[in-house]
Amino acid sequence: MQVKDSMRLQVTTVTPETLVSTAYQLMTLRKSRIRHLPVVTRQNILVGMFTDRDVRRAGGSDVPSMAEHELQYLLEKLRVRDIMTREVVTVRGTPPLAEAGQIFLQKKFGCLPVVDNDNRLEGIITVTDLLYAYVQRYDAGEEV
Amino acid sequence: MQVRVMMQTQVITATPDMALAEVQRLMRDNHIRHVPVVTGKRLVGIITDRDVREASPSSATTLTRGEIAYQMATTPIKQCMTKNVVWIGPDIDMVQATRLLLQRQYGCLPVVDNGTLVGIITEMDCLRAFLDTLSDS
Repeated sequence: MQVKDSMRLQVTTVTPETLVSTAYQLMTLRKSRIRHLPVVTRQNILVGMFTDRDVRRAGGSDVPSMAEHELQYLLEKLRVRDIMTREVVTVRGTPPLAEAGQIFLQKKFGCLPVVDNDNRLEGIITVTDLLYAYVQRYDAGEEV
Repeated sequence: MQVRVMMQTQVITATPDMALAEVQRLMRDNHIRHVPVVTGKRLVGIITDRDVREASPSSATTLTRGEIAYQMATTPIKQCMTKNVVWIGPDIDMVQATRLLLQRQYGCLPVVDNGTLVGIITEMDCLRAFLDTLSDS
């Protein structure tokens, strides 16, 4: 089982120029509860990650007592490149799934972007994807 | 593989009357996001970093710093903890525990034996169980 067997191919991404307010909407409007958005150039080269933690650090929060217009004002001034995480740990698609698992355990990450040799984004893999692989392996009748 | 083999037994817990500020400090100091709430050893609730965030005033309110601190220091966590906690027994299989975690989209499951909190299982423990099975085969 390789990383690419369990990774997600349909990834919502943003660019460094995307407004933080737009990126924040992508994370909060969706039912899928996105917490990590890969930041890519037009050539699909990965340059950073944008997380809900970045937003919180930048001053926004989901606390209702903060007036909606205040939050909007705060977020509309900023672009993704201003607050994104630039040091991103990545994996390739070919290593065994266990390798991604070890990175999650060691670094305590929830999500890893999967890139090719040119740092082009191919997909993402999360701890949840690995846990689904665990359950499916059992359901498939293999000895667990 | 049974839950009791993979669970963490050194669990940091809170009590229902503990203040929000206190449990927030507990989470920050220990780098944890979920804290089971117990009376004696009996599980009565669970509180997450999200519960605390949603219950605390933001820095953009008209409240002064002192007023916010006062609110956080005087509000007991029983007012915002989850009371109907889904828990598991120590003898169920890790695959079943993982399935429950995924179905409910929880970050952790308390392990209860004879009414007593004996451990906790997080998604990282489920991941360790998976990696163990991969390296065994």
